[in-house]
Amino acid sequence: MSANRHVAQNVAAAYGLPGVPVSMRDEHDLPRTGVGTGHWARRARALATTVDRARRAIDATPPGGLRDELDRVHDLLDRRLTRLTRIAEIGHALQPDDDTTTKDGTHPGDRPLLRGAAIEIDQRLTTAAGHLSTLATAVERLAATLAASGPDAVVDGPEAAAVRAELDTLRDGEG
Amino acid sequence: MGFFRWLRRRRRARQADAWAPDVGVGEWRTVYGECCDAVVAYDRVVGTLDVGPLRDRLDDLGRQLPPLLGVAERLCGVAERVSPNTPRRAVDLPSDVPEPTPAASVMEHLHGLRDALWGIADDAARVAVRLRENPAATDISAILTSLGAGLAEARRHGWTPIGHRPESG
Repeated sequence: MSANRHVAQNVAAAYGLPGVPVSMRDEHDLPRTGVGTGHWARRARALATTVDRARRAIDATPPGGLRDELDRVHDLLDRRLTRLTRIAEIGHALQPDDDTTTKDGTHPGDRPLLRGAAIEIDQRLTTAAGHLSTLATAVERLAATLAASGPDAVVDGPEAAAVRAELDTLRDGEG
Repeated sequence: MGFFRWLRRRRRARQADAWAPDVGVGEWRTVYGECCDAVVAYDRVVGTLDVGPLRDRLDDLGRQLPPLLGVAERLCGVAERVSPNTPRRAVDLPSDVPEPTPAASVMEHLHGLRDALWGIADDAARVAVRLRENPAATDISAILTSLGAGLAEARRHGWTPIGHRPESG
């Protein structure tokens, strides 16, 4: 890199918007497609961990009709996760943040100073994370009920009916 | 058809090269780079959309952005000659120079242009998010209108005697 470029990058880091503009960075500091390695990746990872939590709880339940229904709820969560990950990718496309460089104006692990639509995207992801977490917790609770009641109890009885009603509520609440 | 659109986006990304113009190493280069970044961000956001008529439409709209970078380049180029590297040097001028200094005024135009370009990229992201949330969404016309208005706003900021050239519109 020429000395002039280095000076221009230092000036850019000191003035204007945070960090060095993407169009002024060296090849190894350029953002890639996807969710990157910083803020947006952390958001996507947190969402995936939540859905994974539900998956592990379901895996511990005995097989049967209600387990199948929990599996279907998990599929809904999984689809929602895919959609939210794509939204995080849009956030990274708009305002990239990577932990592999400090040229974006943040140190690894720091939250970037978001602006414009990136703030809205981040808020959407935060809201969705809360929603997803509530659903995952409900799935965990149902799975724990099923695991405790044993394979016979889940087929019939008032407990199974209550679980089914809760499952219906979960499905209604998930778009 | 998709290949040609991809090729056009790639060419546009190359046009948004902050190192291409001769605008020094100071704040003029920085603000030009930030204008380029808005165009790069727009292309990256459009790249996240699924292939379809809307992506084609946003692709077409993106072709109107490089001429605005041309305006930014001319503004930065002239300003760099008047006040090399940084408009702050204008502060050192004698006190009888009217305020705002020409360099400060050009920077104001450039900031307006940069913000308008970023507004366009923001609106593209809003469309992309809306479609991810609901692929059958039909309520994006307001955002598309805002995109068009953003383009007009960006042109308005470039509408200066030195920024404008008839073929740049």
